[in-house]
Amino acid sequence: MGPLDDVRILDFSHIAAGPYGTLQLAYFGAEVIKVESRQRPDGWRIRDSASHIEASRPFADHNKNKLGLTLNMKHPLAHTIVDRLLQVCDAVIDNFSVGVMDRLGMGHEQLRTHYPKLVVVSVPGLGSTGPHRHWVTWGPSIMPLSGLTYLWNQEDGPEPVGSQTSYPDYVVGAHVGALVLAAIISRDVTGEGCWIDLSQAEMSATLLAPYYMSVLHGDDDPNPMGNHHSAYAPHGCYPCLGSDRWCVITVTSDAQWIALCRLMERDDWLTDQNLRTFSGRRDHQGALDQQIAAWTLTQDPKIVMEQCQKVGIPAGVVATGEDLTHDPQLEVRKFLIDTQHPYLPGLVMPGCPVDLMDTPAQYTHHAPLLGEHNPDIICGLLGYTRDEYEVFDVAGVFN
Amino acid sequence: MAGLTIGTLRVLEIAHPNVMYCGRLLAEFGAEVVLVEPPAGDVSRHEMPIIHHGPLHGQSASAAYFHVGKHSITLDLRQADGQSLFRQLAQHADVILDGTIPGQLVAWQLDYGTLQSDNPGLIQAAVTPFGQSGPRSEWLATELVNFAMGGLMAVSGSAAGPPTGAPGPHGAIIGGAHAAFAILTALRVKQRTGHGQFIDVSIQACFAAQENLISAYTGEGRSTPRLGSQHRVATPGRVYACQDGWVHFFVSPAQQGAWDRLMEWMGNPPAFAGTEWADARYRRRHAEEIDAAVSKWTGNFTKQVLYKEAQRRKIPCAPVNTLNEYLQDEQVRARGFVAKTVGNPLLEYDYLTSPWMVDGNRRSLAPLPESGEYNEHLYHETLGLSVADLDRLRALAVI
Repeated sequence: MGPLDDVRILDFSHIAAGPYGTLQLAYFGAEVIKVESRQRPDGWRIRDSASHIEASRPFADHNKNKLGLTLNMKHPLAHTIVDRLLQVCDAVIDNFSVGVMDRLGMGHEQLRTHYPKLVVVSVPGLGSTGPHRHWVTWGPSIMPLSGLTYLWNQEDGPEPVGSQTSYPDYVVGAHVGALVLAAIISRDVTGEGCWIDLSQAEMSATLLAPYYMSVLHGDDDPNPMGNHHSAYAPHGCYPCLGSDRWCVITVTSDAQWIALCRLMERDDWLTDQNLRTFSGRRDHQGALDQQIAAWTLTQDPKIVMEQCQKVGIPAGVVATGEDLTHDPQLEVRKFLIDTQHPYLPGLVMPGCPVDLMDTPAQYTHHAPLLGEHNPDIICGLLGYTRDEYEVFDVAGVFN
Repeated sequence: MAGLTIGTLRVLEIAHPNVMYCGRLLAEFGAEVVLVEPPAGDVSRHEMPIIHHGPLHGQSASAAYFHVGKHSITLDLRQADGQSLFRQLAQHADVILDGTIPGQLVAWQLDYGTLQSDNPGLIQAAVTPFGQSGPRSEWLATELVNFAMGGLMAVSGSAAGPPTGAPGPHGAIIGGAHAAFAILTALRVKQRTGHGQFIDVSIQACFAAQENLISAYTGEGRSTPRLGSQHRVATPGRVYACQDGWVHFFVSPAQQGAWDRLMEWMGNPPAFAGTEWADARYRRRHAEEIDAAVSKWTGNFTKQVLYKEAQRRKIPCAPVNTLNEYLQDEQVRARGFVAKTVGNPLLEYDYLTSPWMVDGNRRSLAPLPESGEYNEHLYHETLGLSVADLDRLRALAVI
């Protein structure tokens, strides 16, 4: 039960972007029916680190609270089942390559015609229209395409460093949650469903929106700035005591600069007129960075962070998975949850990042095992008899 | 239909970087979003980068993107008269967006309890770096601090170099998207119960929910490493230098055919003829040999030649585009990602539209509003203040 328990989603999406979107809805009680096939389960069930098809951590994380249905879409009876499901669903989502849903007989035009109240969501890499709609893209290729990788570099770096993150998967996912709800609310107003076509590359470029606006209006392409900033200095990431431990310190005002000088006991900086203003500090930021690093190098990053925050300087440790797991702030939010997953005993995972005070997110069920809810959905929701279920099963519809 | 229509929804956005994107998203969904600025104009209007050419000369590129589609009123919330006026406005609003440090609205007597007592249906969303409660809720943060404390920075940058922050306002965008989702969830509840509620979004939690950062540690006791642009498992799976910059190849274990097709394109180098190279894990262990051969070969071509030919051969490849290069991309142009603002003949400019389309269309939005252009409408028509009242408030610099 939850605030969205009158919302039902048919979810053909896999890996991260789509599933992270429907996860947001599932946290608040939406019934998300995740469709896989036994021949081609969600790619994240079979990641190299998983010992068993039911024991994948990424899958368990991104599919919490969802129902699992297996369907062999090559079987004609599977299409009958999907048709029955679409009649009782509010939205359907996929993140297949463009054309896959068409081949399954579920292209957006067909869906919009047959189910006029349905919200249809597609999240292909480059969008469903345009000359490159069929080009192959994965999350890691979308970052370079959209300009993100080029700018994600140190000022003097030999090559773009980018990130181990699968941008734009999570940014897309967060938007999918909002878009599905906006479209359902819109449908309730107008009586009409719609087709949402989100380009992951355009979403990725949106992360650079201010720079894009500047370039669109005639400024030169910006250069990578590493951890430096166009309006603040010093502004960087400094090595601390320990193996690969770091703390960021960002001075955003002259008052914070004075606070940093006092904290570091640098009276010489306090009296240096050249360092009074941002532009003066920017001109000397290489030297400042070196000396701040010498100061941080002998200290625990959390001590550096706490000292800075205490005097009003925005600073923070470069948090690892371990730091996040023990973060006192996330603990207060009860952000971590024990998933009670049968194949991953004791596994702790992140929960919902937003708190709605009256109708909080709830964790009700671990990510579905392959086909775990086939009988519930086929007989319970769609009203097929047990005998009919057996016929489907023997015919291989659930493979 | 030119976009989604979530019904008549008035949003008061207390100007702050943490909520500027959430406000824009709600405008994309059809809400009436009113930016509440100090009488001298919000600081976002001076945020870097500043545009140097054309109709937006001297304006902030950031404001020109984030504030499209919004209205603006001026109001000094530090003055008692301003606070009183805001309380009246909140009676005529559906949603309040707030990014200020926890405690600030209490000090202004604009906390949720106060505002909701006069308007039970009011929804209020606070987007802050660390959330509303906990030992660090009042700590200061910048985009770099958010990125570090949320765990994404530790996995960004080269293994040998420092963790590297992402370019662009990622925290505002990911926090804003999650907040918009939460607001729409609360709106669904309000449609049933008539009651609004308070929403607490932690940017740190929005980041920490991503990328399996926590479950890699809780599941395997390790933190995800930093590897520059090199993907965890894909080889080739990084940036490679070419004649005019870099390209990115992503040959994941899931796509054996892509490796075969790349080798064929490279003329089947004898060094990789052995059957062991067909094994993705073997390739990952011998990435240095593969990378040396691939970059020697990519050095003969330009980005565009490699991108187009790789796509013809169905090999996931993308150019490491600069921003100008991405804007000139055929796909971006064909899909109309850049459009002109509408509704104000005196100020019309190119901007990035939403990265999604609804039934093949994107919503057209009005340009960045002039400070206070909506004062007359809200104060006079909605609240019924007289011309004399308005003159008095102007004289006191309340509006």
